Amino acid sequence: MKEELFLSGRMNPNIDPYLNIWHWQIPLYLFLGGLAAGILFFAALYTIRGKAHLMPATVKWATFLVPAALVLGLISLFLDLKHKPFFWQLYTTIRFESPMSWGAWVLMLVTPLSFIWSASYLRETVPSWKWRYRWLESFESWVIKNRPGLSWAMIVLAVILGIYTGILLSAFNARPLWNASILGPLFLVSGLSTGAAVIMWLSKDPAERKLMSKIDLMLIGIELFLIVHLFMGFLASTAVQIDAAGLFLGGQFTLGFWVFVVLLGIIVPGILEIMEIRGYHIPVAVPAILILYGGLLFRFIMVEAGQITRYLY
Amino acid sequence: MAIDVKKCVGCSDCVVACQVENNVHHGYCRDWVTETINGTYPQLETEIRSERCNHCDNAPCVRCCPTGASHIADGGIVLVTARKCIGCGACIQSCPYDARYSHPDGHVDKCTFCAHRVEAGQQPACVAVCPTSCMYFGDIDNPYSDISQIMKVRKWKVLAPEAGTRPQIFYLL
Amino acid sequence: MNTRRDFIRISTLAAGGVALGLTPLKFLSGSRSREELLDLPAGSSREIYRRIPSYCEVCFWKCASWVYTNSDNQILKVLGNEDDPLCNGRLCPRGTGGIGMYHDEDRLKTPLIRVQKNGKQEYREAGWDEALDLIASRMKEIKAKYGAESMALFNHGCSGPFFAHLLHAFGSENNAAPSFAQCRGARDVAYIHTYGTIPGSPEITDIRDCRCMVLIGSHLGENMHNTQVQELAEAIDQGITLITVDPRFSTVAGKSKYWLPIKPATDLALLLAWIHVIIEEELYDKDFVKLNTTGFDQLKSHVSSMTPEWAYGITTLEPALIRLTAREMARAAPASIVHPGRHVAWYGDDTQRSRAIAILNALLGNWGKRGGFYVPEKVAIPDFPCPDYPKPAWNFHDIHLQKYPLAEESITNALIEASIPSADNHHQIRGWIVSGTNMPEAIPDKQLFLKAVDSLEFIVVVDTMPMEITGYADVVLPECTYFERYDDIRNSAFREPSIALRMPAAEPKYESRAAWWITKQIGERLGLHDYFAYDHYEEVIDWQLKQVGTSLDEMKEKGVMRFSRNKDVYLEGEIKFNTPSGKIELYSAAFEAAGLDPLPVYTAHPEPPAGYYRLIYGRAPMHTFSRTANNQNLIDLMPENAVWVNPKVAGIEGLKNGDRVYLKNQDGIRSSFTVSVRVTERIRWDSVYMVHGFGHSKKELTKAYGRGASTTELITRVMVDPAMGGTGMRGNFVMFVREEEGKEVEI
Repeated sequence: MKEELFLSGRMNPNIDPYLNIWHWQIPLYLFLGGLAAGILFFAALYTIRGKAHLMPATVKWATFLVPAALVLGLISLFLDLKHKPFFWQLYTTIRFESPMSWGAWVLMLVTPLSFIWSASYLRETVPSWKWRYRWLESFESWVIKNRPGLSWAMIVLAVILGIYTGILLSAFNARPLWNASILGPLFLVSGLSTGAAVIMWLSKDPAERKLMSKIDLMLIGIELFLIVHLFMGFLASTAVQIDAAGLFLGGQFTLGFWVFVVLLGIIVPGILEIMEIRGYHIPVAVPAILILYGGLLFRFIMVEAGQITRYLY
Repeated sequence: MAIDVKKCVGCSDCVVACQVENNVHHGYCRDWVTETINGTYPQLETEIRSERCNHCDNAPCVRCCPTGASHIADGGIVLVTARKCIGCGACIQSCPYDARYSHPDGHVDKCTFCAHRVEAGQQPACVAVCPTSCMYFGDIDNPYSDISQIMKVRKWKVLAPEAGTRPQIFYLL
Repeated sequence: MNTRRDFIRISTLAAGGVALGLTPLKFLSGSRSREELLDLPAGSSREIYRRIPSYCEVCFWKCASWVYTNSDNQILKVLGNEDDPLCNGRLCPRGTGGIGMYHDEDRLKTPLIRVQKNGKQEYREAGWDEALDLIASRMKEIKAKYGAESMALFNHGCSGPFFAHLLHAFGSENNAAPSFAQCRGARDVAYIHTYGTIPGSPEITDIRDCRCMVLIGSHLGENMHNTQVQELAEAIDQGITLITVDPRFSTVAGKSKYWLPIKPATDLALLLAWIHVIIEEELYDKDFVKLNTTGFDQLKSHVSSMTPEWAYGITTLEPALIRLTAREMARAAPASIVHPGRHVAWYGDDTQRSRAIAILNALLGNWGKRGGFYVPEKVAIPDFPCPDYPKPAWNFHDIHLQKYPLAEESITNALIEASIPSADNHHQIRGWIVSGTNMPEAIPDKQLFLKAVDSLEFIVVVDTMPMEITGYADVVLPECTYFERYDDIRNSAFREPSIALRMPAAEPKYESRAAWWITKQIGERLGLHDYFAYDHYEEVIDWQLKQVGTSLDEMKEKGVMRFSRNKDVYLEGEIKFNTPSGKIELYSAAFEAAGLDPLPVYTAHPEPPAGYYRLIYGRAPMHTFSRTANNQNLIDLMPENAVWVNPKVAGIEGLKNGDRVYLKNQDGIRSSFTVSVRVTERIRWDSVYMVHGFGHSKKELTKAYGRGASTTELITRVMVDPAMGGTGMRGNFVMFVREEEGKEVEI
């Protein structure tokens, strides 16, 4: 028998017996960030491809949610900070080795951009809207004119936003569960999928809904593929990774992950979308909610489980 | 720092001396003592280690800090500048040794190798108090220092070398 | 239960006055402010302003220290005095954490007097004058009615000598320390009757230069006897061979070349077999034995049948291993020590086992040798002049002369028994002063203790903390901690004589006072002014220091002063021993005369019945038994004890690591609190192990209350040593009671 224990009674709050320094604020932000990234990605994509007029929900309606999501995410992040009065230190420097620093700056860029983007569609949605100041009106026309250019910027930033949430976690090599490079693409795809789900839900145009649904189905397929590869990677890796995977293959997260995240949050909505495409009428809210719920729960489980995994003791 | 596990008896003097010297709050510790026991009665062997922040050469906590509060100072000591720390917890996530914790005041705290004592020409509190004198602290780049001398003649290991952090605490076996 | 003296459980102070420490409620609510989490108020300066010399009181070793304070006279930390040969500038974890004792808010704050109120007994706060007047008047009453001899003192620590002096002047020599009968007594008696002297405190083992050390149950490293652990570390660097005999894989067993996992209670068989091998194979120091011992021939014929094969059947240790280790220890002689141990009160034949150890050492010829036993020397400090003490009509010898003929010191349990009236009790003790010893935890057989408490006329308890013993007192006096007082000069007998000064680093907190002041006050009231011919104890210390060539002022600067020896530290050739024959008495005529075995004989001891496990106990390096269980600094290291259970046993009993269980012993006594299970390979399958000193039942000890289980509670079967009255405590067996079952039984 191998016995390992602390002789000196170490019990640092939030560190022992299991690391638990990040609570609900982080997974919530990761979810909202992924969602925002997904929506912005599709908005930018279809604007670039010139299909903006065909995809009103994609480029317009859904993007109204993004500023709210990002602001909520930022508030959530702020609440997580333990040394709150000093939060502004984040913006005094860029540290290229720190994914968190990238994230801080990317958010700095994406949030105003999303505000601008959705603001530029305000008048289409609410015809009676009038800007207060003249320079806002000229700014608005400038934005509308430069939408294609802006969408290039947006698509790049959206991809960075979506993928950095995963890279953030995977850069922590001390947490074996997170330390997989596939986590970045996985979070990006998951984010895109949640974005697509929201667009699908909001859309009133059947063609748009069908297109989004097909895209979402493809994303679901990729996501499942990436999840399988994630676990294959764990099991083929070192002892700590095998132990980490063990949490999901018989351990305490088995049920939560495979039933609620994978089955209910990915596979079932996928099946529902296939059925919808085949002609059965499924209320679009059902797969959309399941996907959103799955995305949120996925991040909650990953953040909690990741903190439990460790190299020593 | 080098620690001789053959002599350490696990008394945890290093833990309480650090707490007293550095005014660590009750319930928190910057260093701790671990024991591993292998085997089946009566074929048993045990190893006792006093552990703390390893002040790694390739410190992941310094890499991932978004504000630069976590930095490597003179002599290779990893320190946290409290007024630059936002309390995001990234460094805590990145440490394979779980050496850091969130100080009640909000910033991140950990072993500082008693930098304030070292600057005054003294040894860290844990090294100075150890009753078995099993801890060595000094400049490993100086071939004539106590620690360099002892590391030449003893087998040693570091914790979790596979984490790639190049830790600077060596356990003499 | 209708007793004369109720154990006062809950703090029931009359309205108005300082509360007796934090209420349990505050502690349980968990809402401790950030300031409470630090020893000093937030914002206090951490800058060292000055340092004051002292020596530590957390255990009996008395390492000299420097106490560092800031400019507001708040104590910051305490570090070892580098000039002190006992600690070499390094304190143990308890010494380092000793400041927790000073900062502890649960400390006794005012004198307390037991009163009857509404049919209930409780404590009332009182002023010093009232309390001291009461004590003096009760003592006078007892003297008038029964004679001064019927006052007894139970003591431990530096305050003891003050109260012993007071009682001696008053007319009683009946003072006892638990360290005799409950701890080292058997060993001391064995050595006196072999070598004519005791192994000492600190033990005179020259570990630093030792080449082979044998530890019989001694757990150096877990027992943090500072100098010994420091020297052990040095010896490890020099490649010492350690042979550890222990049913438990202790820390030092983990550093030993040979660990002998002996069956409990059979050590004497092993020792006799070793003696057999060393004599048979002629590995003993022939010159030394010829020159310095008597009784060798009797010894040789005595052990002729005690072969390793015989011992194998008893101890479960392979004969080859017994021979191998015997040869190993002989090869290293004379730098070879069989450690005399410290706490030896195990099975009731402990004097005989210690005799066997003493004999084995004699065969190795290590007395007075480098790496063996050195000759200790201390500074000759004269006592402060006072009149001769009155000669008492009787003393403790009269109490236990018949029963325990060889007891050199007073036996605590005999004094307790003498406090109970009975037909053959001709020397009844009527009143107690208890200073610095938590009797219900230190001394087994609580039933006897309770009967005594019931019969006594008067009990005074002097302590720093509201320990369990304070619940039985008529008057409780709050003593200040060692940080706040003067005590006698430390003068430890060692390789190198040295003295250390203790002076206060801070003013006494609350209403606590020093023992020198308390005893002087009581002495004055008893008309013993001449025995306390000083206004402040500083005068005494200064006078004594001047007698040895220094002064209080000088010692305040230095803390420690080292002296050169007058006698040789090592001895060659023929050595004169303080025994009747002048030699080492391998065969003890004194034992024979007392009706005891003159040479040790192995006797089997009771074994645990099915489903029960032998309870063995020991120390942890970060605690001094029940004394430190409430010290926040040390609680941070170890908040409670755990019961070590072998994995095979855990499997049978259905226990997992971390389960909480009650323990119930062979007499049906169940522990008051649950204890955590530690499943570990380090303990034999027939035993369980716990660290002693936890399971406090006094709620006023807010941090220690209810944590872990008390070993003393479960030690109800005591095997009394016929030689010196020691209480063998390792003959108790426990079974596990699951937490849920235990709760059902509780009313």
